[in-house]
Amino acid sequence: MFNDFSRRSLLKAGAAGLATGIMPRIARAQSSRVIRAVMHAPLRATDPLINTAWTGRNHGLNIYDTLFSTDSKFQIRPQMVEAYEVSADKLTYTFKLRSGLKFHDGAPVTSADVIPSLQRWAKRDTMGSRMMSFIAELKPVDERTFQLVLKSPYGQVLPTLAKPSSIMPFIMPARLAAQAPDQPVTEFVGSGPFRFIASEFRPGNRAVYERNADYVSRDEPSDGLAGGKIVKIDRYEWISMPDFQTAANALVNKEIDFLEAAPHDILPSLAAAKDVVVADYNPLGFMSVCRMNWQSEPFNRPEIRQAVMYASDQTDWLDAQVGNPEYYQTSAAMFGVTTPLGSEVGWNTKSDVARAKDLLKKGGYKGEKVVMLQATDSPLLSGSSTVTAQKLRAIGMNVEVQTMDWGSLLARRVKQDSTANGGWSITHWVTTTTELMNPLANTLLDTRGKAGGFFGWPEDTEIEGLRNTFALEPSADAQKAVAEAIQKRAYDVMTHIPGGQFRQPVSHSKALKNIVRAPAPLFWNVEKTA
Amino acid sequence: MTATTVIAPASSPVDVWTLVRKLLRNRTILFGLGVLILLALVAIFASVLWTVDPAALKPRLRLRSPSAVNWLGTDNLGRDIWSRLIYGSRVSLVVGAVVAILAVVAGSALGLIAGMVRWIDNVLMRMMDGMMAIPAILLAIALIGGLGANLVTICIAIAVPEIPRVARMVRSVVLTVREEAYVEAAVSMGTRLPVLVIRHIVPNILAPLIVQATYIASSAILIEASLSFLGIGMPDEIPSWGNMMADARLYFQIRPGLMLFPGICIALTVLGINRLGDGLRDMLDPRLARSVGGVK
Amino acid sequence: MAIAGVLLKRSVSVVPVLAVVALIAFLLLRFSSGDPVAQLAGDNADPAAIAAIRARLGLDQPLPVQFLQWLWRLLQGDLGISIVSNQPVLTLIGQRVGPTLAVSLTTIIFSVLVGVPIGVLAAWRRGGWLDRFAMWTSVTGFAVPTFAIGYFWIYLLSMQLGLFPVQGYASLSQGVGLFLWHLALPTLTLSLVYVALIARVARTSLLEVLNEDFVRTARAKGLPERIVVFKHALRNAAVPIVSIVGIGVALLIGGVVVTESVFNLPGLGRLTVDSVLARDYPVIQGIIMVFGGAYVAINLLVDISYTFFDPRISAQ
Repeated sequence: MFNDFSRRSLLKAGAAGLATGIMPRIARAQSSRVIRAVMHAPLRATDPLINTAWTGRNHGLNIYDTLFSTDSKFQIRPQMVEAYEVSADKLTYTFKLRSGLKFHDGAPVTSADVIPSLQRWAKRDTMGSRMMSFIAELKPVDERTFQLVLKSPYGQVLPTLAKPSSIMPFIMPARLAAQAPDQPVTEFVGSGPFRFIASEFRPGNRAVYERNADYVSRDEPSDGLAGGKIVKIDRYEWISMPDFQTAANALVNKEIDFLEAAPHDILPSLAAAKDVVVADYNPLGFMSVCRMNWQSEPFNRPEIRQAVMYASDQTDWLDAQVGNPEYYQTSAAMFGVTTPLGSEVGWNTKSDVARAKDLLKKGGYKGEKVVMLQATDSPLLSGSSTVTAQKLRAIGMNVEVQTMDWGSLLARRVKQDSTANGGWSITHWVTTTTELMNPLANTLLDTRGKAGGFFGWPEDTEIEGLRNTFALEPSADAQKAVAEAIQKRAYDVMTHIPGGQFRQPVSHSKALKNIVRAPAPLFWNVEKTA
Repeated sequence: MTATTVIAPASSPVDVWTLVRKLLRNRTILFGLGVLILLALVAIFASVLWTVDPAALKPRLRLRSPSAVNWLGTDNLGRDIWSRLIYGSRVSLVVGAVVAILAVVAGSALGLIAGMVRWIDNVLMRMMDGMMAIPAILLAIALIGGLGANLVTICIAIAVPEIPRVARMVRSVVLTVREEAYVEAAVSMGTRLPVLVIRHIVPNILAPLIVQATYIASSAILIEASLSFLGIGMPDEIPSWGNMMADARLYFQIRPGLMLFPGICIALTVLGINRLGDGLRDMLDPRLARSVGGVK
Repeated sequence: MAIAGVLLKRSVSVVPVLAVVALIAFLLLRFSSGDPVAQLAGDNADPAAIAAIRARLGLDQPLPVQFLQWLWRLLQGDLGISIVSNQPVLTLIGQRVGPTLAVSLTTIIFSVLVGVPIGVLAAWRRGGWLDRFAMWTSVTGFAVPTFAIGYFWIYLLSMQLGLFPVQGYASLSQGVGLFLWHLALPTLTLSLVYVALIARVARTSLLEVLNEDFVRTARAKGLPERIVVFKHALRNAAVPIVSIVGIGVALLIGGVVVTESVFNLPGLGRLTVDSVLARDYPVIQGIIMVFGGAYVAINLLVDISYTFFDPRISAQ
């Protein structure tokens, strides 16, 4: 029926007439001061120190501010801090806050707020707790000045305070920072450019932010997470849509303005739509990871972990996850391809089946069951697992795929038990490159094993030693050399297999201008034309 | 339900033959049976009918249009749609059949116990009432949340909410039959329970049970699809029409066939099973046509 | 027999059913494999922190103790606090009940308004084109997954014809027009099955009534067929139709869960799925109690309404 074009347009015209007849077009003609955005996931939990997912960080970036920030060239720039000094012995850092900073409740931001905020955060964040272990004292000097005194020189103080990824050191009022670190704060007061409208918060469905008129912005232009944060809209609604297709249709239909993570396959149809722009503002993009569990058979043996790597092929993974090669890039870099520490040492990203089979034999593989956890929420999460399962079967491994949603996978992957008791052997996930670009923040290289490490729990004293060296190394060149040594060793012992890097362009209405290039969706500086 | 619905057991071979003839003369039943037989044949000969290994991935050949190799094109992981549809017939039919059998067997057992043993009756039926008060899909979602998602757990999760309805029906038949004079006579003569069940209860309950089973089977196939849509369905390693459809929703506007083909398969199957159920219901027991419990 | 007595008796019979619902709601999730604590504790949690959270949530107590504690709070109207969002479950449910109620009501009203006339006409002109059309629509309506129907309407009525919004919900306070405009597609999607169901039941029960003695008498008296069907028969065919509305509520809720996802309605169905995925026990339990309670209440109403529709029952 719809092949007949003239008839179709006639129908359309008739329908449009009908629509205007029955419906005042309120919903479409939205105020030009409101942005409605659909993100990759809805906001459910609101304490950015408890909700360690990107949603928690992105929420935090709206309502809180940080002492330092990272700009688009990975340079560290002061944010709440006006000026700072490092003593000649490199042991004492003195920070002075900018004047006029105010929390949303009207109280001024003081040293007495900053110190407990940092302390609570350091109990949640690994990089923070590492820094704290070097700190002798954190003390206020006056209202706007405070000091950080080290026990011994530590090169990572500013990178830690400027950490661009979860968990970020957000500054809260002292009364809220007094909350126990494992219990969420229940009031959302920060000094950031947006206020959180708690009365309109529907967990899992909608979060609403309004412009903080009292925000004191820096004078510089916005640059990455750093610089000025001037809000040019009144209100920003973070809406969730469980179905990508629905979200894409809503964008085309002008019911929303911004769609963070449309699956790559539907980007061409979005780009072709009138009034929709597909663009990439995230300079680093994302990396996917294949992680094996060191604590369970058969991946407790290095040869067998290596075998999985040689069975794998990054192009196949990325084709299954992303599809369009325009958006992805194969790379062995564990710290990201385009980052200061990026290096290709260790693996050529191609499969070598003969070598994989050989390694299996060497590792004494006897058909032990490999339990793969697969999250099915989106092609990005599920695609690579399906590929890996098949590759492993091809080299003769006994794979059982268990599918679940991402939330359940998070719950399952903490289990250190054997596969017979609900444990797991191998899984895939996706992370922002920002989280991995620093060897200390990179949780995949946390090799403290079962006791303190990260899911998969690799254990290697050599890598831990190298990470300590990195932490103390002052010069950038020397840091790069250490990072490369870490990567080499990580491939030797096989902490994880990098799955390549990809970009996730956002899709938005043409009415949005001046979106900031940053590793998170930000709504300061953005203008919406009518 | 009154004593008039109690059908005498059809035991002589002549009766069976007339029954079959009667079945084949009914166009509704014929249509349903035809569809089911066709599907069964497809499922049985699936390994001959599929052209490519339905699990074989070729990510580089994703979302291709129909070709000589891939008759209906490929999906988002480069798997052959035709072969997955064929293989999917097995999974979808198994889901329908297993759920129906599970629900009917468990429901009948509970219904029999409730109908025969007075003191259990009350407790059991209150349990059943409670279960019925929870919407089926909610119960299924919660069960899968607990059990994890694979072929077995999905069948269980879909079957469990159906049990109370079957149990209620069986119980009511048992209670009616018990009141019959000849059954009371048999009990007083010391007829053993299993004999009683086989001789007097089973014949009366078979017809409504078969009808009920068809409705359960068809709704199971649809619920499986809905669960996949909600993101808690079968792993896509095992292609079912339901998870093929759910996976395809992202590509609905780029490659409508991805959703259309399994959709047609589901619709045809469910239609076939439902028609068979309607036909059987009308033929075996016209009074059942009024029972709303049978309508799904 | 006094109607008040019947009402009281029926209302009391509901209590054990609700108790069973509570027991199921409690047990179901305690035996589930997911661990909400692990998610709560975050990426860097150590076993001690996990144990602390477990203790704080009372999850370290023996099961019977947990059940009794939960039941006691339930009786006081306290459904607990969401593990994930840290908000009272009652608040969360209250925020989400609107869209679910709205789409359920519009669906029921629409389905009755459309389904009953179709069923009546089909029975009146048995075997005619409308009868056959209604039969086949109902048969296919049952054969297609709800979400596929939803996508079809979106594609046709929103994307191609621009008649309705693709997704979203507007509350009544934003205006009746806007409210109904957003509910149009979800209602159409859900109604397909429901119209079919009601039409089918209306048709069968009407056909049966038409064969009964009093109808024959009415015809014999020379009353026009119109009056026979609409005045005499329909009233007596109402009981099965009303009861199918009651039974259909369970079916409807199943459809609502899926429809809310397709059209992004911020209702209870979506909250259910999200909570199951997040292993948010208190919320799931709260929702099961609410849905169970609603089901029981609606069936109670249906039960009671029999007395108004069917003189035979009220005469007992």
